[in-house]
Amino acid sequence: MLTQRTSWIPPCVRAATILLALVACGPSTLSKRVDATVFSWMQCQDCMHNQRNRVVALGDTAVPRLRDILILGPPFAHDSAYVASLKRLAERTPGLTPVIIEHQRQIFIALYRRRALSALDGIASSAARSSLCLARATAGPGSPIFLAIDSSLGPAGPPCP
Amino acid sequence: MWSYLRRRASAVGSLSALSLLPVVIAAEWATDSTAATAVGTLVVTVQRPSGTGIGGAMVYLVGTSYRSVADVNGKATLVARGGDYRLIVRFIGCPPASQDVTITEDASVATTVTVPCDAHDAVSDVASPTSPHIWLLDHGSDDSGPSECKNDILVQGAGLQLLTGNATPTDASSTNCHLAGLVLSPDRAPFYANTPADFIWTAGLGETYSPTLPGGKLRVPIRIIISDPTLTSKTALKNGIANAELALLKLALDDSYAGIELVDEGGGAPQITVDDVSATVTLLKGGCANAAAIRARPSIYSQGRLNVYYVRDVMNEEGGGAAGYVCGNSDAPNIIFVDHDGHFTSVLAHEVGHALGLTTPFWGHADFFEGFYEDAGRKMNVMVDGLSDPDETLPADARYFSVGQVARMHLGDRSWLNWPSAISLSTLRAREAMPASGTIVPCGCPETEATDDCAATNRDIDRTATATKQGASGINMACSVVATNLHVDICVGSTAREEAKFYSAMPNAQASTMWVSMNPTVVNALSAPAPYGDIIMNGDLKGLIVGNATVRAYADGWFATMTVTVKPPC
Repeated sequence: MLTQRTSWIPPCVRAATILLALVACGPSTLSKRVDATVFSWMQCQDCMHNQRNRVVALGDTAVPRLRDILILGPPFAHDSAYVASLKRLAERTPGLTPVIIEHQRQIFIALYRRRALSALDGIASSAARSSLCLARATAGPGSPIFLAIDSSLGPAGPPCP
Repeated sequence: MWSYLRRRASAVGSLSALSLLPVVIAAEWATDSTAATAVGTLVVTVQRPSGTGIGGAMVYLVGTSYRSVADVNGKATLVARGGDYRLIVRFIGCPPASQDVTITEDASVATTVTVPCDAHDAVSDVASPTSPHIWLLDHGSDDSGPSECKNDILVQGAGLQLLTGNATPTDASSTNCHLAGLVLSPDRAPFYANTPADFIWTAGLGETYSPTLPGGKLRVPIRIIISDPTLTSKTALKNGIANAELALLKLALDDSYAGIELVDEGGGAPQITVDDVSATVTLLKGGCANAAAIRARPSIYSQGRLNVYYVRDVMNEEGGGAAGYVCGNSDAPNIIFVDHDGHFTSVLAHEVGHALGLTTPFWGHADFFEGFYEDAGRKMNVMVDGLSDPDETLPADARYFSVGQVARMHLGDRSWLNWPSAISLSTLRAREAMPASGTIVPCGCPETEATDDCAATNRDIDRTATATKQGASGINMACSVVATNLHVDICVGSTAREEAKFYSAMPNAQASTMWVSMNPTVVNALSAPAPYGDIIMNGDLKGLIVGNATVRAYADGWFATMTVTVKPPC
């Protein structure tokens, strides 16, 4: 039902518009403190240091950065550094083929996006919900992230515009 | 000569100096040429106090380029201009020796230099003399005057390794020092001894300690089970686990001389299997809270191996979202969860590190305190939990454990290797016929301070591919916890707020805390709000059924224990 509401704009046009908007209004104004808190949550392995709750406590301050990550995945610097480290690992592990490297990268990207979704879900403000709606509009219907956002938005809340 | 040229250039000005360059060079050559006809010979015999020649010793005259290397008999010849010089003799592993000499033009003079190489004790793995080793030693030492007790001395290299002086069993006041030796090798399990009778050290010199290492690596069984019926790309995941994640774990262990070989419990390479039985999926979804039920399910669990489950979501005491988690807080360190579609390549290696006892300080996370090696700014220790840098990410090739971490893996009382892991209550180490003669338990506070039987986890060798050491985080670690009440009675359905306090040797500790019920069907334990920055930690304990339970208050991996009796509804 939510998909029908947004179907009057072609998804590719919508995605391109959103991406341009994100680039133009990027995270340059976010404080280092917000970024440090957000990326501590993105990059924890065991996450025993209350990382998610600290992001949620930031509230709407963290929403722009989380929205970027949910829609675009990790920042380019993280993505490229991660792939470079996988390639270094491949130099010593012959079985680590480019196909597996790409699969590992996708798991890495999914980790960031899921955690961004989780934090936005925890913030639960109207700005956070708008970000979820925005991300939903750019996600392919039926994709794991689309379904996860749908699940997060839930049937009880107000519909996405 | 270049300094001479610079001085001249400075005197006449830079432009005119260029035009004078050929003249200056010609003048220098003329001087050298003249000097070449007025030289003398110095024959140096380099020997030990015992009189044995030292081949390979380097001899040189201070302030000159005159140098030579001693032959197999310890003889070296220097040809130099006549004059008075300071002769220095160096040999690897020995203190340098020096002597004033006079070289007479057109004559040959001889001198003998004694290098105090016998003023050393040594360590050696006689059975494997060409293999590199890392030695972590506690003993007395008199290398800088009166003997004193030394802790966690690191020695690295192949073959005979000279210590810096005389290893002794006592200090200057004849008080017995703690004696211990941990030996790491790339192809065998570590050797460890910490009882005085194991060591040969006396007040005499020239002793070589040569323990016998185990014949091979310690075989550690591991099984990886993928459990999620909704996952369609299981083959891709299996390939990734085998060729990236498991491969990285093996590399990290090997690079660190951990002496551990990962195997399947039945022998051969570790197996990766799939179990999508709905009951299994449900069980694993509950995470560590279901540890007891998981243990009772032999189709997916064995007491004698590390059981790794790749599942859809990983639950931890913080409410989920972890890339991986070990049930160590529930006394099940051989149960490991990994989020199959949201994790880092290094997470398997990281969680196995926790399972092998790397749980303190800071939950065993290496990013919170100083001393761990970085590679061009990248944190390469496997136990780094995460970063907070917008420009940097956790590298997928994190590849080493420190010497201190490897010591704890093998010798720590929290390592699964030293836990009962069979019906007979034997440890894996005992079953593999590699018992250690002791375990390391009491640690300092903060734990970066090594104690007799606790190597600091950041104690490490120089790692050649790394250039820098990680700095301090500025956060002070907790290193003990005390519960206000050791026992509490509650009723079924009611909740009691309990308190514990964590302590640090440093002020302003900011511990990561949680409450864990060891009997979650009897008592539910949840962290409750407490003043931030205070040392107080609150937990809400709720009685579920009548019975007794144990509850732990954790801070940075340390915990206090309290017992809870749940009575019928009040």
